[in-house]
Amino acid sequence: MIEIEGGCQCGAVRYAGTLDTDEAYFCHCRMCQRATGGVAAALVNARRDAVTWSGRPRDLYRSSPFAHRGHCALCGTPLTFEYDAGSDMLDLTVGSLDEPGLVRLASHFGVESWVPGWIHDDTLPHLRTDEHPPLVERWAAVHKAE
Amino acid sequence: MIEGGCQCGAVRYRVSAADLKVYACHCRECQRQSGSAFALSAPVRSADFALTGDVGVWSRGTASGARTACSFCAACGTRIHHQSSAAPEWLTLKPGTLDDTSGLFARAHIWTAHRQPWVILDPAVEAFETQPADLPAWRRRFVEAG
Ligand SMILES: [Zn+2]
Ligand SMILES: [Zn+2]
Ligand SMILES: [Zn+2]
Ligand SMILES: [Zn+2]
Repeated sequence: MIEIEGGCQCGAVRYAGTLDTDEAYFCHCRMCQRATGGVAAALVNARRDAVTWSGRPRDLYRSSPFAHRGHCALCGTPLTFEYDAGSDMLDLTVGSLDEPGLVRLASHFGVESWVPGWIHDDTLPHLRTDEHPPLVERWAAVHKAE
Repeated sequence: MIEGGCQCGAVRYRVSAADLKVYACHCRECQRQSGSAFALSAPVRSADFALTGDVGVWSRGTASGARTACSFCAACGTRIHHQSSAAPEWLTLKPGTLDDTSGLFARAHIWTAHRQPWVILDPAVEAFETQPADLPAWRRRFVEAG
């Protein structure tokens, strides 16, 4: 278990808790690019009940029919990616950790929109968005309901 | 025409320029602000930039004594651009918000002294351990270089 603390750039939203893993990943999907303003979000999985929030509550933007993205409403810092249901986990943004060096890069996701040239790595696992069953199943359920 | 916007679509912008020159900053503020391991910046002349939609602004002091105004979508939090009080005729766009990010070419890295050790850079791309001594002047040369 890794003890962590973190929060947004302006300091209004804070969190503390523990991680079960130090394995972070880059998500290169287009929504993560927009959310971070860059080429990829760096994310690490945490148990919801292992993270305690303090200060101003994070704002939740509904980014898809089954997920929200948490951010600070005062400074915009992206803080989380969270499924609405079917998961007791959430993703924290690595950059919002007070010590991002507590985690390490273990894989790449959303590689269909990887922008080459910024991050050099050919050794870690690469997954496309459509190769990840939890996401594929949620989209299938949305399309079935339409 | 270069166009982009936030995750939710409430903020949209256009840049009247032939292309964007983009660098990465690995400083802790940029890691925090982006939620990722580094942030991207594309210097743009303020006169060439047109934005529609409702933005929130959070501003912070910098080491040089200037203030940086950070603009983000008031609805979804997406950080759109930064503007320094020392050089209001320029702004730095967060280019992950472009509608098409596939052409974002890596031209430079700054503050690599704070690079997360698991981010491997291309040795062929210019890199500064900290930042160029006169950052606004460097940005201008950076944009005007062919
Ligand atoms: Zn904040
Ligand atoms: Zn993503
Ligand atoms: Zn928005
Ligand atoms: Zn920076």
